[in-house]
Amino acid sequence: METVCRTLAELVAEGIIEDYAIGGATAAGFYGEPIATRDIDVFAFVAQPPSAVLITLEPLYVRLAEKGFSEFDEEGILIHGYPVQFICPTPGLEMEAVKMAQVMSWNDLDLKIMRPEYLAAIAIKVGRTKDRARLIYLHELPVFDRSSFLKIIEKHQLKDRWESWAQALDLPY
Amino acid sequence: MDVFPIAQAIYHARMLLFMKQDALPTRGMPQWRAKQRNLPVGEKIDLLGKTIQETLAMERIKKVWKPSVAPSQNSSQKES
Repeated sequence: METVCRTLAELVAEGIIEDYAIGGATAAGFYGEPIATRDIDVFAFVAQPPSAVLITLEPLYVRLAEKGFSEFDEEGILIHGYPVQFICPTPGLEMEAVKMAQVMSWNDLDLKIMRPEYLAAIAIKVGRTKDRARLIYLHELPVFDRSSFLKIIEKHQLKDRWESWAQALDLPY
Repeated sequence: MDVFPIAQAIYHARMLLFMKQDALPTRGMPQWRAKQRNLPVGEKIDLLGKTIQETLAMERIKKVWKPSVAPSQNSSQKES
């Protein structure tokens, strides 16, 4: 997976990706023990061509193809054998989660990982069954900042759903 | 009898219980969990990579696994 991280760093250095953060189960695994997941979710702001009317990931896929990565496995593009799903962050919670991502440095590599409080808020917003299990996992991590999480929930109008889930999942709210 | 779906259901149920620490033994978190949580970044990246590859391998196994089907009993029993 180090090779995937280095490819991300190259794309940032080349200006193809303006900003990014790893999210989803892979990001959660950085803060706790790894969760079973099949791909790496990367929320990325991709540099747009001047004539673009809609946000497109095409410049990213073109550059990845030039680097030799053009095969897909479901929604993820295979980079060094790992499916990587690039996602355009939606305005609001996801964009904020990318901007506020934690930088983890290792050797000469800086990785941007979404913070657990934002991962939990996104889990509540997306609302799948597996997001409930992920919320429990994140909420019980020693590094989870509950105060920060509650502010995020309040800001992004997720308080009602959080309280409903917390009751159902027996989490303190 | 198809045991794979049952095994899968038990696995998921245990995972959910596992995530709720109430279900853990009162002597505390298993050492392996604490160790995995506190790995340095480089080792964590390696472990995450292995987790992804194992999940993909499990998917490939599931795709080729076919439930064993008992031969249908075609004989019709005629009343004597």
